[in-house]
Amino acid sequence: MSDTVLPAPAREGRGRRVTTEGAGARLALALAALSFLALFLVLPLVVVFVEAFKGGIGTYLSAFDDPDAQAAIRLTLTVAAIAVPLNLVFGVAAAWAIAKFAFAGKSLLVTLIDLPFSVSPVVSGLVYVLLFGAQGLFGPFLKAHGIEVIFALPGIVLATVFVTFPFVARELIPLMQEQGTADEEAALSLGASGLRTFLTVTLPNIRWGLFYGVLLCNARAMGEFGAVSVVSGHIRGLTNTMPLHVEILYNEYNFIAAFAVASLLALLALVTLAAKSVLEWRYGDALSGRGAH
Amino acid sequence: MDIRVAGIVKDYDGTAALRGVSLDIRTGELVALLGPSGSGKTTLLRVIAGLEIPSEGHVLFGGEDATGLSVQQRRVGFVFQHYALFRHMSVFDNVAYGLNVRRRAERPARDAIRRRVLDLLDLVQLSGLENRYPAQLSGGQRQRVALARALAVEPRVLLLDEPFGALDAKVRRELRRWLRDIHDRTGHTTVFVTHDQDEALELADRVAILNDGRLEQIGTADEVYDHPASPFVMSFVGDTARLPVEVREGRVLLGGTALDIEVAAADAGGGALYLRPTDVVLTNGDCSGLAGRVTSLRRTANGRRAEVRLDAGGNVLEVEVPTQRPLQVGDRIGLHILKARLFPA
Amino acid sequence: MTAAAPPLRRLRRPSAIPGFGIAFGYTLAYLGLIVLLPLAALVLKASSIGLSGLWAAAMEPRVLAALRTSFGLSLAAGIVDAVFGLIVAWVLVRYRFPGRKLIDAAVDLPFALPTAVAGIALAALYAPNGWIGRLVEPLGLRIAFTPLGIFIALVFVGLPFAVRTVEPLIAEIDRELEEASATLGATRGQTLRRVLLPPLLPAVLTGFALAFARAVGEYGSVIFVAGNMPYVSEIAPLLIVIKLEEFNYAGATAIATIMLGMSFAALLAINLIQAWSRRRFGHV
Repeated sequence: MSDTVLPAPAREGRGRRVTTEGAGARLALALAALSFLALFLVLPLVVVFVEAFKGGIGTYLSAFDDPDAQAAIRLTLTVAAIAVPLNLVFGVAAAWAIAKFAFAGKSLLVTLIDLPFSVSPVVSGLVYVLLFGAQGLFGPFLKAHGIEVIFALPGIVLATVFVTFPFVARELIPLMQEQGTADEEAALSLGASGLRTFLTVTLPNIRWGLFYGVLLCNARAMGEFGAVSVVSGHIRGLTNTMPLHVEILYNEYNFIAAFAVASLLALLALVTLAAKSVLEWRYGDALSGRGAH
Repeated sequence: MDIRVAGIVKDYDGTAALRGVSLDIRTGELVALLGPSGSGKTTLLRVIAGLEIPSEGHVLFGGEDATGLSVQQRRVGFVFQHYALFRHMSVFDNVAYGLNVRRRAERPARDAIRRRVLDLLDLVQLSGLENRYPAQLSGGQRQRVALARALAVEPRVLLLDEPFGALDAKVRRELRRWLRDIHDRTGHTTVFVTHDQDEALELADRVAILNDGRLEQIGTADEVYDHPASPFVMSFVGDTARLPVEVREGRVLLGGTALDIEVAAADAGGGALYLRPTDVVLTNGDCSGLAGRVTSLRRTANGRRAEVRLDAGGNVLEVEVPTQRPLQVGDRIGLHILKARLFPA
Repeated sequence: MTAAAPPLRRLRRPSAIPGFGIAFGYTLAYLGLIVLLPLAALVLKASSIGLSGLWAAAMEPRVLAALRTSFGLSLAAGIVDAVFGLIVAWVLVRYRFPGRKLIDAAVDLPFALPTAVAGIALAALYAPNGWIGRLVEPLGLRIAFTPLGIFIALVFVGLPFAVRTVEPLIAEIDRELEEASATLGATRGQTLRRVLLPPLLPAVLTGFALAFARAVGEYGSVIFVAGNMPYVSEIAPLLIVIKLEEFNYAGATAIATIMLGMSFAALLAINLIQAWSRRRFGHV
């Protein structure tokens, strides 16, 4: 029906949608949010790369000729290569026990697993010093047997394992709880062994969540500063990880080299974020457990 | 307050939800918008409320163009399908909300608000529950809080979106009667959306049937049931069988057999005959006219339904059979059509 | 379950799925060795100092100043994070603009960026000759090497907590609520204030508490911009490190114990908020 008698062309002067703010308020809120994020997120990231390349690409690359820098990179990779698999195995075991079984004290166990997240990194280092340091609980015993923990690789690994402890477990527990036990029960009823069930049924169901947890665990393991700083002793070329090396270079006013090493760590963070986002966009359902059924 | 909907078109990014709907609703009337999902019935209700902005057309309340008015200015009472109760507010605060958000000059005094809220809770039979939170109520109770909240602002019209959709069958029937009762007592012009034809036919003064963004027919239950305006209305309201027929010289032919029905103003040529199972009766053994073989029988609440494969054309027809008439699968029976509607094919 | 069942069986429901013993045993052993034993060492050390010893260590003026700096600035940073976190989350969930997904991903940067890198980046920005420091220097404002620098670093590390706790709740808001409020005559402002914000508050508080707890313990990103002047811009975690370097294990333990107590209090507060919110609204 064409209704030319009635006034006002249809598209004009109509009320606006009720589920959003006015255009002015929207603009103001968006500007506030975006400038806040630009100031606090984008700028710090940009400054790292700008400062690193301040002296040109040659100067940038020469920062990595330094044997101490190379030793730091090697140590960081070594520490992550030990700490991440340890927490990976733990995460799977803990998630298996917590998600697939009902037992008393479960919520206490979950709380305890999250504990390292609420402890200051410095305190995380300190507890190992109290345990294994020269004046520590086991200090005299270790000294008598010539075992070095603090100011050596084992201490750095332990502190790293502590601060990255919850990552994998925390990702897997809700995922596996969401998935329930039906798939496993089906496999077992078809005659599969426990191990086979885990490898062929459970693992494929959790692979993206597992990858996600490992990703975050690895980023933190390579980037940890406070806890490692306390137990490392800062021995150049020996017990310096990349973040500690950044600190030393920075305190020596060797800014370009400091930012050059820092840019590698920033790159690691960016790759982690990118992989994380891709996982969330593409496998969002598999990560939350909805897609498995 | 009467409502007039004139030439409403609503596009969502190129797909049309409403393709020109016009409708008059009289003051104090209870009208159902009935249609399958995707027919545009909820969109039409939201356009009337001002929650959707139509691409074309106008909405008039009491003869006054309300198209340009915002939702807030329209003073409609809207009951949402999932009630949309505010979970952090008590029942009392939910019902009082519309009064509390008024500008100071228009806001009733505190004890006036209190009195009005308690009166409304009494009306919807929820007295004594004013301090509960929505999470502590049953589905039917939430529904009634939502209605009280919508009535609190003294709306010009009351709009309900699938008011009983989320409730189980028993509660649904109780609330249906109760809503009719409330409507008769308060006299609000009321429009509600439903996909349930029983609900629409039982509850509403008039039923507006929508299909694919168009209004097919509006009328009383008798009108839409007995005088459907289109094949869609005929088949959407009640069970219907469709028989392809030919019309020649004022006679209706099914697969060559002339049917004993009169067709008013039927055009010659092809057509489709629509008939309901109750419009066909069994003859007393006379198989000379329309006849067929019983292929299946099943019990219904009031009798039996026989599926009959017709000799002519091989079409299958459902027929309501009285329980006392002995009948078995495989029997040959004659049929007599009492009433049918012919629509062009 | 019969009374004859062995004790372990009574504590867990029987299941057809194998591997409970080994998974549970390994979990407990690993948790005990890596987390509980070291924390027990701290508790042991703290108890050997005694309550009066802890109190005396905490009342030492320099320690007191450091604790005040850490907690005061963390409180301020947590509040700023909670407010801006809510705005950022709202904008990211509700508004559509180019680059939205990218920005949403970037919110996690403070999680992923090693703290030392964040620290030197912030120093490069806010030092008197830095990108931003240079701009505010003529105004007589110094950011790096003052408590303001610490505050900025703490806002940085806490931001993702504040955004990520409210974001899912905003995404879940039922549009019908806003429409219901509008049909009842409420303006958009009233809808935001009276209908949308109250259910978000528990999450905002949780985000604040998480950001605060993270800020109190933060070390790496702070020490580069703090200036680390005793009594002025020295944070508690740094003082632990200093005490350790002086082999003053007791002093370090005292500060660590106080900080640990505080972060557990924050954790407890979060749990209470969530329990209350679940009771009241049926969700977190």
